[in-house]
Amino acid sequence: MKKLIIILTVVLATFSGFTAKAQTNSYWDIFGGASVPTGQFANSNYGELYHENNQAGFAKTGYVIGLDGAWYIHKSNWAVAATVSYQDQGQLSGKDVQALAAGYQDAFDVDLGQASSHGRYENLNVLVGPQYSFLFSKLTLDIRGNVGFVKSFSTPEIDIVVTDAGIPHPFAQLSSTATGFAYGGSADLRYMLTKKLGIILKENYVASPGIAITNTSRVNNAGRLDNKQPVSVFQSTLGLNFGF
Amino acid sequence: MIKLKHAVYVLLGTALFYTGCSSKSEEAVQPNIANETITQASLKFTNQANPADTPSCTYTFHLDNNDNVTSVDSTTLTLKANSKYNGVVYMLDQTQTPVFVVSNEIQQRENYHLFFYQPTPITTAPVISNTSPYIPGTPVTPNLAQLNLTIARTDQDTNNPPMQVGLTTLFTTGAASTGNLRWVLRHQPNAKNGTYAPGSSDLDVNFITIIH
Repeated sequence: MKKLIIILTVVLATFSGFTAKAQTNSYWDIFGGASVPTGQFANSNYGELYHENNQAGFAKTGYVIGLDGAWYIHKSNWAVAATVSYQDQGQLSGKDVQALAAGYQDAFDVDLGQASSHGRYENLNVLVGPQYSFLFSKLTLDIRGNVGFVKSFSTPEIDIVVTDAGIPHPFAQLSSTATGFAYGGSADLRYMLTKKLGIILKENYVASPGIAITNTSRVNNAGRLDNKQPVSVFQSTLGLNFGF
Repeated sequence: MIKLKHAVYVLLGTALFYTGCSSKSEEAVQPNIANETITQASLKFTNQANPADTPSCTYTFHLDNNDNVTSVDSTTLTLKANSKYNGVVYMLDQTQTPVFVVSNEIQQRENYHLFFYQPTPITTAPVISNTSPYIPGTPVTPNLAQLNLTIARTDQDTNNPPMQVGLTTLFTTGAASTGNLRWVLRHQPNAKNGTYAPGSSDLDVNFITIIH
């Protein structure tokens, strides 16, 4: 514990020292990288009978590209920051639809369960929030908190047919273009190559309690039923940074 | 300004490249599996006015080693006239060890199961609705003495809005009479709407019924 306190004190003192010497400049950047789903969004387990994972999203590791910027307030270390990013979190795999077919077959106790899926998770995040920067000559560490929204362009559509005694009973989970509240935080490391150009390494977390999902032809409450899909991603990106 | 232009081109180019990647569709069919078997189905009653009066009736399927039905037998349901009976369903799969209580499984899967109870003979067609336990299309025989029995389901499932199930019932008897009770369990996966038509029958049996 003592060691930790000493290390933290030294780090903070160092940060303060550098911060005092260096100067903040508003900037914008363009970035791209990996977007990794977490939590229920990444869950690809149908669940157990009567205990289905209704909000399992079956999302996959994908990519993110975006624009980002920060505007410092009166040359202080505080800035107002904004990010606009586009994410693709993939689609359901063959194994996923097999799990869905088996899950719905069991849930409705039918002779045959069939599942098919098409479409991908594609969305836009728009986030704004306060940022604090620690400056070390050419290197800057930015810590940021964000709120905003996630706008879905599409989610995977899932079509199910449960067949019993030769009678098919189809239903579907439709692709969503809904918008939901989002929040998150990020830590960036910026290194200035010239006075106006630098590179930026960004570690970003974004979560949303959920975007609305529409289901059709669901007559009875049984089996997995996703009405709201939570979204949470951890993103690791590299980018080019441009000073104003 | 040139830098900004280049950056936007890079961003747009990357976006176009990725969005150009086609999205394929996945499909899966889960192979056929055997449903649970009902080897014995019983209705157990308790007279509301006399808890010691507990009639029942049982339908038994006798199976060979390949689970094919080789023979059946059923007991007679005998009820007192002008009485009210609370009924419960009890179903077993005796091919499993230990014996599996199918009626418990039906209760868990109540949102797509529905029981129907049809006394015969009937002299007038019963009123059919989504809360009626009677079977549409039952032949009406005005020239025969009817079985004086009315039935109401007393339980509900967890659909929204809730629908009846029929695992518990109220049997009300009238004057002494004889006839049959047809008992059907409809399996209506994602199709249950309170009516008889959707789905298929998991059970369809008859009991000789005497009201004395």
